[in-house]
Amino acid sequence: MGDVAAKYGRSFSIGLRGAIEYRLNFAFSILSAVSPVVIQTALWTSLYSPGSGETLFGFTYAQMIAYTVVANLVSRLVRTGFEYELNTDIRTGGLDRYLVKPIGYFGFRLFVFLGTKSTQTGLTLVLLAIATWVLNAVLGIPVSVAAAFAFAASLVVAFLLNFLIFWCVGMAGFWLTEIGFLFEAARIVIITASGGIFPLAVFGPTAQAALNMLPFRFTIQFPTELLCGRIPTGQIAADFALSFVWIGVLTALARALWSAGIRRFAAVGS
Amino acid sequence: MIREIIKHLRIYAMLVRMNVMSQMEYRANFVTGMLMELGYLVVKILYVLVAFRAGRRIAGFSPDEVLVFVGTFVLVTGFYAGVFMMNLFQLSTLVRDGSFDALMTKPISLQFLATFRRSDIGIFLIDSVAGIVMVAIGLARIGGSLDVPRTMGYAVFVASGAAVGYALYLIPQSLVFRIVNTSSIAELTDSFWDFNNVPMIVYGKVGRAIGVFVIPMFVITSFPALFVLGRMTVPYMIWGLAAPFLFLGIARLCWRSGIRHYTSAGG
Amino acid sequence: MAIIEVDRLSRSFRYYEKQGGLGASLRNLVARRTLVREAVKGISFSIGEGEVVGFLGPNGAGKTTTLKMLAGIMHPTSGAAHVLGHVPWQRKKDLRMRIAIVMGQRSQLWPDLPAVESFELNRAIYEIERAEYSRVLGELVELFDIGGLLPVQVRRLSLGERMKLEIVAALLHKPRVLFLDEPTIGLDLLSQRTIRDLVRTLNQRYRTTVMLTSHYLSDIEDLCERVILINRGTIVYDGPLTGVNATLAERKTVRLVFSAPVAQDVLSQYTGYQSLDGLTASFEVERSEVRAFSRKVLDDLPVVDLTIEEIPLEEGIAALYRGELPRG
Repeated sequence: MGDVAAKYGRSFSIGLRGAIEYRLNFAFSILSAVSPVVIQTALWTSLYSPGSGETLFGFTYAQMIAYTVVANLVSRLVRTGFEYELNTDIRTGGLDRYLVKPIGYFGFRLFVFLGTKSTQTGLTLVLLAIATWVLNAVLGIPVSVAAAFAFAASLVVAFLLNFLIFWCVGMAGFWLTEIGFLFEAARIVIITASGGIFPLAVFGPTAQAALNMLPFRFTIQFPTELLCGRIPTGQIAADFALSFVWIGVLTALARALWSAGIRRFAAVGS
Repeated sequence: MIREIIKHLRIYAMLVRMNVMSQMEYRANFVTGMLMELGYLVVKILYVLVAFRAGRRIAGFSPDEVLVFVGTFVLVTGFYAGVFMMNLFQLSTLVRDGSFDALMTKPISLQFLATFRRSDIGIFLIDSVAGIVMVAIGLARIGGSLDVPRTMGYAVFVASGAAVGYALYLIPQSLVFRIVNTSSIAELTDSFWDFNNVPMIVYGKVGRAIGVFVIPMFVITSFPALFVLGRMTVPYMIWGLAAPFLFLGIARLCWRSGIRHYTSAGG
Repeated sequence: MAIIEVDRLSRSFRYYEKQGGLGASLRNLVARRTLVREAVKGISFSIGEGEVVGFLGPNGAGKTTTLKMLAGIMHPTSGAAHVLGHVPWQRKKDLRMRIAIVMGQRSQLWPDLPAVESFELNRAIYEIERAEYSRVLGELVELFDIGGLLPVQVRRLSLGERMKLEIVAALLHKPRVLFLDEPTIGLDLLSQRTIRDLVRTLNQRYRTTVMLTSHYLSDIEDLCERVILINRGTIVYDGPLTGVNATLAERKTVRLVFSAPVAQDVLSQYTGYQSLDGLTASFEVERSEVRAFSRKVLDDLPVVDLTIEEIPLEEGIAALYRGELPRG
């Protein structure tokens, strides 16, 4: 048991070290999250009539700004990148190594992911804490302790879901050779469907209803709305339940795709 | 001097052709590359969607005028994503794997070769066609004629915007000769490109001043749009024509300084 | 007037210390140590027209750094050099039109296109007239027998074929100076031979001055009448090849693998015995004695495998330092 922990611990450490090495890079990476916030805030500021308390797409001005800031931070928090390394492993046959090692490839990828995330998360959480204070003091949107806990729980769900989603996307590498752009195209669509750019309400009521059923909402929109207190208390449990269902479904899908992919990999090579 | 320019233009035509031929070898990539650009396009159009659905003016611009703005943005993005961006962001790879050295020995402008080598005509076409269509629809809905002088003026400001975009993005990438890994700078500046997704007026007086005169992001797409909408002031017109020369000059200086550092510090 | 003149050229590099481990990475966040490496230390030589000069030395000796300075890719820290009358690191267009560089394992040809497309690009870049280009290309195709390779995508060709085409691409504008940086690295023996033949032919035919760096002695042996031996940034030897050969190639290492253990004192009876490791023994034998020696050990000892190797370059250079200088 201690052995297994040690192995996963090393994976965690690899991710952590890699992240520290690129200190400046990673600071810039956080900074580049600011641009969309500035752009969208400017847009909303010009759209809402000042001081009228009106709602657009079901959001007051303060709520929309709050959503914009938090959604962008959460989006940065949960984002992945391992699908490219996964693809490289498939391409270069590096996967062979992991087929023989006692630590499963899925576990390896998951823990490296978490390792890298823990450095980024640190700073982003600080930013989120600052954002929460801003929400409270400036925008007049109080964040209760209960909301903060619910938010934290939803973040764990979000990490897992996003990992699973992009793991499944990454599985395409077993069947398609030229994949780089496809990942990026998928990422953009998924972020949009997650409410990472604008809240899903801008798509209109029918589209929003459909999108609400999908897992993507739980990676960005759901945690964001939890923190901003926009989810009615009675509905929180139901929403979490749906997210768990999706975790189950996606895990099953991930395993199915992996088995099919690995079989093909062993037969065909990279 | 003219001979040199013609030589470079001819070589650019060859490079475009060679890029197309190379890309045809990887048809899947070519297609997915265009899909990716379409994805970005969808996000840009989302901003227009929001404007239309909200049903109101953005900083004094009607949704149709916003369509012209975003259409211009998409059009110039064709130059950004299809012509020069990938070269600028790949500079660090070129330097790291040593290929940059061979380029240095060729009797042709190093800056030209390094920053215009690659192009993606698929991406360029998607953006330029979509952009032009959006602008045309927007202008048609607004009414008013589109005569030759107006179209030419628009083309001039689009070209000027593309030139300013090239210069603005080359300046930070020149740092590649000092700090070899510029991928995060690339990511950061890439995120700035989207500032043009909304008409520059929304950024307020101070934001606008900085974005026009200091780091002229808005010259890139807001200017051509303002011109064709007949909303451009004379000072802006003059600046819109002068800025490309000024900033190309600055970019050239940064580039040469970077090369000096590269050849002196080695690597 | 010499084509290439080098006068006390020096080049040093500053770099940061890097250590492994998490602790070191954290420390690096705060402060890094700068170290200096002197790659080239005040070297001088000159090369005349039509010479083929080999720059030989172990890895890290300073060969590529010197080449880069002469090709204009790098500034020296001190010293002077002239190539075709120009200071190379000023990168004047006139000079760039008349030199060419080919670097081993680094391709200037577009991988997804047939080589001829890259040739056309070079034609435009070097402003070669269409008629002249066709003539030179025709000549090179015939000379090096690459006709069949031209319409094939470069990435589908073998490394050896690709290197051939790289050199041809560099010759289209008939450069007066050709810099070759480790051109045979990574190639199989046959391809290495082909490349050497190619370079020799072009030198004979066009009087191109060739400066070649390598850490394979056989590269130099075949091609260069003159060799400059460089080690740790300084020139250890500059002269005819025969001199170097005398020291480096006179003796060979013979390695024997036995089927059964052989005692050390048995082995030490043979002259040139060096070492024994398990079932493998090494000997240093004069080249002229190798045949007789091999016959003897094969008769006397339970040998299952016998290999004859060159003395490693470093040892040969060390020998030169010790004063075992060649005779004439």
